[in-house]
Amino acid sequence: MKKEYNKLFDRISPQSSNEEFISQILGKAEKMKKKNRISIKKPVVAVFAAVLTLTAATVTVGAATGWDFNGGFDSVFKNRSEQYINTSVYQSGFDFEKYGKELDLHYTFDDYTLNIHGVIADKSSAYVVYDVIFDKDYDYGAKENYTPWDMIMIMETADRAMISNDNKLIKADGNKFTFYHMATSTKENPIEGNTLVLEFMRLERGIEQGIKYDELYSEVQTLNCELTVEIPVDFDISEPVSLNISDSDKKTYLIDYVNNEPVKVEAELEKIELSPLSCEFVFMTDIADDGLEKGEAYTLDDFFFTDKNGEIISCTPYDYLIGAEENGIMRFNVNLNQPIELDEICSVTIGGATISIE
Amino acid sequence: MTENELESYISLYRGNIYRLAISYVKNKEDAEDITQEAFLKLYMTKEIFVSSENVRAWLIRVTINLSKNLLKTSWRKKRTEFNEYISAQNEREEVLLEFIGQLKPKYSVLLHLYYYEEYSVKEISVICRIPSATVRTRLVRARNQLKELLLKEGYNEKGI
Repeated sequence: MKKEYNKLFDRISPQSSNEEFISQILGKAEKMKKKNRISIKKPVVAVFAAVLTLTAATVTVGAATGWDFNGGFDSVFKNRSEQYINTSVYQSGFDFEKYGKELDLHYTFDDYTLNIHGVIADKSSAYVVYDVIFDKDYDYGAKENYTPWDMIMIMETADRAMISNDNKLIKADGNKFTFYHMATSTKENPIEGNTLVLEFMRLERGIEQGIKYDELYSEVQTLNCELTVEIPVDFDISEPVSLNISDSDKKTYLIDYVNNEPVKVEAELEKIELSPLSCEFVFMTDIADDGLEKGEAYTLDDFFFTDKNGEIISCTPYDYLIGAEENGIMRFNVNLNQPIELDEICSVTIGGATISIE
Repeated sequence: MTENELESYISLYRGNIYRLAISYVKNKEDAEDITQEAFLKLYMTKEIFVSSENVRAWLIRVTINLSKNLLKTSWRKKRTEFNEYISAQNEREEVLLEFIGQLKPKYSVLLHLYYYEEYSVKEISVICRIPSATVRTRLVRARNQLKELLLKEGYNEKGI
């Protein structure tokens, strides 16, 4: 297998020459060096004032024409609900200061303004909310068959410890598009005391064409950004809260895939450590780590948290399949899909069984 | 980093980084872009590397991040016709190509690092920042999937 795999990949080579490749990189680097590296410490009061004026003007124009942007927006997005998530916590006004800090950063570009509102972080994840306000005369409105606007960006710590990035559109209101960006690090590379480096590359949308075509879009609309923003994590990171589980609730199960068929395996939920953006489930099992030979790997069945208002908070595991440690302990780390108020969580549901937590 | 150093690292690692990106995003255009972005980051970084092996690991780490970021955009997920770009030389290779094309990125990248880059499980664990047990189990799963595919196509599983 290895020989065949390597033989196959040996036949793959980049198409351009190294000289051409180097020249392209140096050209791009030169352009980047010309741009001022923008730091959080720089005052942006004047820009903020301009944004407020612009926003007010846009709202007035929208009202005067009676144009129903949201209706058009919904029709374009109806098959793309996964891109438009409703994070009610943010909409009701999340307290950035509780688990992070409020930011007041505003950057103007030719056709839009970028505003960064705040950052939340725990030991392993960081979450930034920002919006893009298009200029009133820019062609930003919903277009038939176009993908939604998306910001192509990456967030890393200064020591490049981030392992996953997720960017989603939360809300669109007139010419204002609100996004969140979330990235995850590891326990070995904590976020606390680090600096988050956000690289906003470009805004983009277009008409997708089939996979048979070389070009991604038959039509594309792109707005360059090329902005780097540094956000020092100089606020206190809250310690994970250990949630108590009553003995009667401890018994649950994990899923083992045998010949691709899910098989339930008994396990006891020993501990849940919850942070504003992530969670670790610790299970005790009778399973020893037989790793490579038998290939045992386990996963959690469907799971989610519920808060006191009955709202469901879904999660994404960042290591979906886990092997047991030598003592039978299994640790599942998950990202929450929205920041949570730790005091508000009242239960976790795993594979249909609801476990109360205090 | 100086231009001369950049040139030297490009001649050493460009092919490897491009092939890693191909294994992840499974199309040549995105792989080209990611490779260029990774070397641009290398040129611009203020990191101090103690050896060229560290540069290689750093480039791999950055390439994986860039690839993940690119695949976050849903419309790009459809560009996965990996076998359009490489022609199989025999039927067994065709099955292998089909397998690589179907394999989820979190598996294909580990398989690539293990087979092609010849990193150990422990080294992959450090580069990808996931536990060794996870690396092992993902490798096993990837190989089991290939075994199933080969058996389904009437081949034996020798050499997997």
